[in-house]
Amino acid sequence: MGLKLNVSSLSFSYGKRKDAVDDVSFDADKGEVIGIIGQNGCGKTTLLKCINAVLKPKGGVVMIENENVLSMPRKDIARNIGVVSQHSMIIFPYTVLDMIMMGRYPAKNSFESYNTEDLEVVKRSMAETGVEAFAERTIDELSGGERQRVLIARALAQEPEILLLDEPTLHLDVNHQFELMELIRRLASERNMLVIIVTHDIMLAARFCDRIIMMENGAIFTSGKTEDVLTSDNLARVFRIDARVSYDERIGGLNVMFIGKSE
Amino acid sequence: MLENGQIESIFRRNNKRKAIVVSVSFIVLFVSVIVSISLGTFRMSFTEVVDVLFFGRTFVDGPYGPVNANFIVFDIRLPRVLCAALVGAALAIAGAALQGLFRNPMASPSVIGISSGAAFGACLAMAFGFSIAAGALAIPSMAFIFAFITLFLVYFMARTKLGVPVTMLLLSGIAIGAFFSGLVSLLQYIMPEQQLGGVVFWLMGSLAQCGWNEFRLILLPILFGSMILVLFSKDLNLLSLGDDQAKNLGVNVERTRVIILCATALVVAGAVSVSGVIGFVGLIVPHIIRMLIGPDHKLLLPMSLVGGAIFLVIVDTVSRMVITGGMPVGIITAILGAPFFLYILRTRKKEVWG
Repeated sequence: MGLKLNVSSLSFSYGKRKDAVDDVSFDADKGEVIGIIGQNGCGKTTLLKCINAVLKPKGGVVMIENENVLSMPRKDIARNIGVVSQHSMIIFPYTVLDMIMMGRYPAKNSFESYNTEDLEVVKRSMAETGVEAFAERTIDELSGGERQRVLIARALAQEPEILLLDEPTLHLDVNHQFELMELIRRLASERNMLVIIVTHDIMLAARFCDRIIMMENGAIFTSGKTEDVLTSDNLARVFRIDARVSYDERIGGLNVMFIGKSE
Repeated sequence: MLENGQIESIFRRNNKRKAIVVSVSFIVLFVSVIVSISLGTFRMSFTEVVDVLFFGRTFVDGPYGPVNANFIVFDIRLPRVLCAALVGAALAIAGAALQGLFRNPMASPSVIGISSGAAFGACLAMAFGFSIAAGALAIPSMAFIFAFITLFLVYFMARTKLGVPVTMLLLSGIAIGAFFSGLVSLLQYIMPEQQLGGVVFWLMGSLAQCGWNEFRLILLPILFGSMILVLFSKDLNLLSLGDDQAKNLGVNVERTRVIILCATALVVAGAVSVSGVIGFVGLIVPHIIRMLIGPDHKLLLPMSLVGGAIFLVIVDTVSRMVITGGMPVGIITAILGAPFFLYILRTRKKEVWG
C-alpha cells in the first residue's frame, strides 16, 4: 500500500493570472497533523481545493494510496477526504442532525436513504465533537465555535482517512481555539487520520502540528518538522515579522512570540 | 451530555412527524378537492359530492328538481379541479427545487423567466396551429423546449467563474423573461383575431379550459418530472449548501444540476401548456412549507407537491366564485404573490442577496 497522500508538482492558476499554486510537492501519511501556513493569498486554500479535486489543477497529480484523485468519482473522493472549509453563508436552516447526516451521502447509493447504520456513524461523530446536545437546533442558531464543530462532525461522518481543514480556528475565541485543536490532535491519533490544516495562527500551528508546510507566492518556501520550519529566520523571510521561537517546557512544545514587524 | 439513545429517539420522532405531516396534508387535499367540486353555480353538499364520486349516485336534488350531478362532477368540475391540483403541484415543486438549487428563497419558475419561455413556446404552437399538424402534444412539447432553452439561457448568462450569484440570476431571469414576453406580444400582434381571445385568456393564467384531455396531457410529464426531483432530494439538500460543500461531500455537481434543471423544465412546461402563466405559486408555497416543516428537501419536495395542489385548488375555487364564469386564476395569484414577494425580500434580505 502506498502513502496515504502524495502530491507532486501540483500547479493551478485562476484564468491567465500567475500560478496560485506553483509546483507544490509533498507526502503525508496517516496519524499526522500537518499545518500549511503562509501570508494571505499565498495559495493555501487553493492548494486544499486541488487536493480533493474541487479545483482541477493545471499540472501535477494528487494521489491517494497510489490512485489519482482526478480519475476517482466524486463519491470516492468524499469517502477518502473530509473537508471543513471556511464559513459559507447558510441559506436554509437545517437542523444539526440533518446537517451531519449529510456526511453519509458518499456512503449511499443514488436513491438509498439514510438508515440506522448511518445514524450510528453520525452518533459517533457527534460524540467525538461534543455536539449531541444541539442535535435538534438549527445551524443558524449556533455560535461560530459550535458550528465549526458541527461541520467537523459532518466531515467525520464521511469516515474519511484524510481531513482537510481551512482556517478552523478563525472567528473562535481563544478557549475554543484550543479546544478545537485538541480535538483535531485527538482525532489524528484515535482515528489514525491524516489531518491537514490551513491556518494563520502560527502559535497554534507551533503547538499542535507535527509538520509545517510554509508557502510563499503559491510555492513551498520550506517544509519539514515543525521545529525545523518555524524558525525566526523563516518567519522573518516569509511573514516579514520579528519573532522568537523557543522550546517551552510549560507547553511541552514550541512557543512563538512575535516582537513586531521586521523591515 | 445526552443520555444514550436520545439521538435515536430524535431520529425516530422526526420520521414519525414526517409521516403525520404527509398524511394530514393528503387529507386536507382530499377535503379541498371535494369542497371545490361542491361549489359553483349549482351547489352541492359535501356528502352529495362524495356519493357521486365514490358511490355511483347520479341525481342530486336542485331548486328546480333533480339535476344530473354525475355529469357536473365528472365531466366539468373534477377534471378542472384535478388540473388545478396538478398545475399547483408542478409549480410548487419546481419552485422548491429551484430555490434549493440556486440557494435562494426568491427563485421560482416565474421569477427566473421559465414560465415566460414556456408560454412563448406554447403560444408559438397555438399561433401557427402546430397542434393541427402534430396533434395535441405540440403545445406541451413546444412549451417544454422553450422552458428548457430559457432555463439554460438564464443559467449560463448568470454564471460566473465563482458560480451563479443570485443577483445575476434574478436579473438575467428578468431580462430573458421580458424578452420572451416581448416575443409573446409580437405573436399576439400578428396572430389572426379569432385565435387572439383564447391566447390572451390563457396567458393570464387560467384553468377554465381544463378538461380530461388537458389532464391526460400533463399528467405524465408532471408525474415523471416530480418523481425525478423527489428522487434527487438528498442531492438537492447538499446542493443547497453551495457548490463547494456539495462537491466536498461527494456530489457530482454539474451532472446533478443538469438533471434537476431538466426535471424542473419538464414540470413547468406541463403546467404552463394547459394553464398559461400562473405566477408566484412556485414562490409562495415552498416558502410557507419550509417555514412549517424545515428545509429538508426529502420532505419539502413532496410536501410542496401536496401544498401546491391544495393552494391552487383553493385559489381556483375562489376565482370561480368571484365572477360567474371564472376569473383567470393567474390574476389572483399575481395579486397575492407580488406583496408576498416583497415581504420575503424585506424580511429575508440576507438570504436573498447571499
